[in-house]
Amino acid sequence: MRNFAALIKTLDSSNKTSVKVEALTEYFLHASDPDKVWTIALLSHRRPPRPVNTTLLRLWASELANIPLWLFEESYHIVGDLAETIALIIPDSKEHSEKSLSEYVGEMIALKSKSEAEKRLYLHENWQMLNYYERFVFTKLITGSFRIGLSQKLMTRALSKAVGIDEDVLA
Amino acid sequence: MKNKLLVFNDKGIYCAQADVYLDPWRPVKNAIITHGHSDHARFGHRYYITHHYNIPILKHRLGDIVVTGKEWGETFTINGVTFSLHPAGHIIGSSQVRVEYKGEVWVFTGDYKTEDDGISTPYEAIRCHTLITENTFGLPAFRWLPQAEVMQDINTWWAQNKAEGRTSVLFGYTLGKAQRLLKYLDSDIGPIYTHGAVENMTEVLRTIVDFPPTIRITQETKKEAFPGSMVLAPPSAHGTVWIRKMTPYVTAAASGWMAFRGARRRRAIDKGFVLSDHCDWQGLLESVKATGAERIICTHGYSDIFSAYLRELGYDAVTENTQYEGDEEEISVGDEKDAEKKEEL
Repeated sequence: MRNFAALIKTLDSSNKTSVKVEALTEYFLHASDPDKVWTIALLSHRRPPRPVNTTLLRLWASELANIPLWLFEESYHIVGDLAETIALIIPDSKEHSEKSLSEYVGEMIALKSKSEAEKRLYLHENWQMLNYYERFVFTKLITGSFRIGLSQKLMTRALSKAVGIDEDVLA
Repeated sequence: MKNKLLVFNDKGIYCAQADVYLDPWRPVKNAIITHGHSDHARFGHRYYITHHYNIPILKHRLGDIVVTGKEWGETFTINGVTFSLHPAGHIIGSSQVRVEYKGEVWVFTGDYKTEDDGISTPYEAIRCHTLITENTFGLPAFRWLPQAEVMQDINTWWAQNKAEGRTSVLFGYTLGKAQRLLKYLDSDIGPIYTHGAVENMTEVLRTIVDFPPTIRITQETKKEAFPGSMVLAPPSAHGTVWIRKMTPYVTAAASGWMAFRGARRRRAIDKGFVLSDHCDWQGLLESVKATGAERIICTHGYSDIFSAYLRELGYDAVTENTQYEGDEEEISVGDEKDAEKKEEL
């Protein structure tokens, strides 16, 4: 998750196409094959089915942050993005998760059929084991897509650079 | 009910017994000033009382004023009311005002932060019955990282920009933030240039604090001098002709507002560093608790939300309106709103 979160951070914080393609190329060079596949899917606005609805996300996040729900809602109203609010409000813990992007996606797919209590426990554990930006990306995987202004063409270009296969063939 | 020791009227926070205002926003006779930011230290009062560190700042900004300087903790009594100034840790000279009359103690925090920045005299919680606290960042979404971590990120960013042959332009408020950044910039990386407004204020403060050397940017400064260097500038310099001389450059802002992704994006700044001179959520809660106050008056910032939460915790908390909304850090919000309007046009 560390590498994927760093990639999203770079893509999110630059308006320059060259920087984005460079960051993606660098990421693809080192990512495992399952991570590559999931990255392409996620950046093409495909994501695993939503395992938890946002009402429960809000409730469980406020519980973990030890604040009343109304205070969470006020903060969300001001921050304007649910995943960002959750990432800001929950403190980092000392332990850090080293699970990869594809491991997380796999867990989320499995999570959908779990009980509410299991879902709550899973989120409470994992929210705390990530740093701020990873927690933001992790929650985005649940709540919505990554709108980071990246066309299919740019992604293909980056992948082509990384794996050394011609752009046209890849596309 | 007996008269309140301090009331909020149309001119400021007023102590009728002593005929003294705290940080008044309209001209008055006697004004105690917490710190040099323009929404707290205004022009036109007859007599100013402030910590002596603030005197050069006030004179620089307000010209020839009649001002008396006080030490930390030095008491002075006016018509039976005892006043003293205590460090608030917001910027150099920033003070809380303790007001005592017949055994009843009120404290006005001014603007404050709990982290010791190594420049401002560190904040101390003052025991009181009634606390008037600011709430600029009174939301649980605000959680600051230690200054050392943020400054390390800033220096890493600078070194990286230098390696790419770019100028690093860092925006921070002229009084306070700019000097805090300057103090911890690693001058081994390269030269530090300053915008005139930052340089003027830093010059004033060099008599109190040691800072790394800076070079004032003038008309004569050569374009070739900039790549690899650091430029400290006020946020208002962003998007002006002045900055073009630094091309190729990258921009960053250091402010509590940078905690929000949207804040940085809306202002079209390349990088945001979360560094504030105000308390974060935990800092506010901890200091309220440490004062032992039962009654809390919440002023500028997210005061409605913060006071509602304090009431849940069992405090007698209310909100009062002030005109400190123009805080130099809060101005960034106004800028954002303006920027949004511009985008809509």
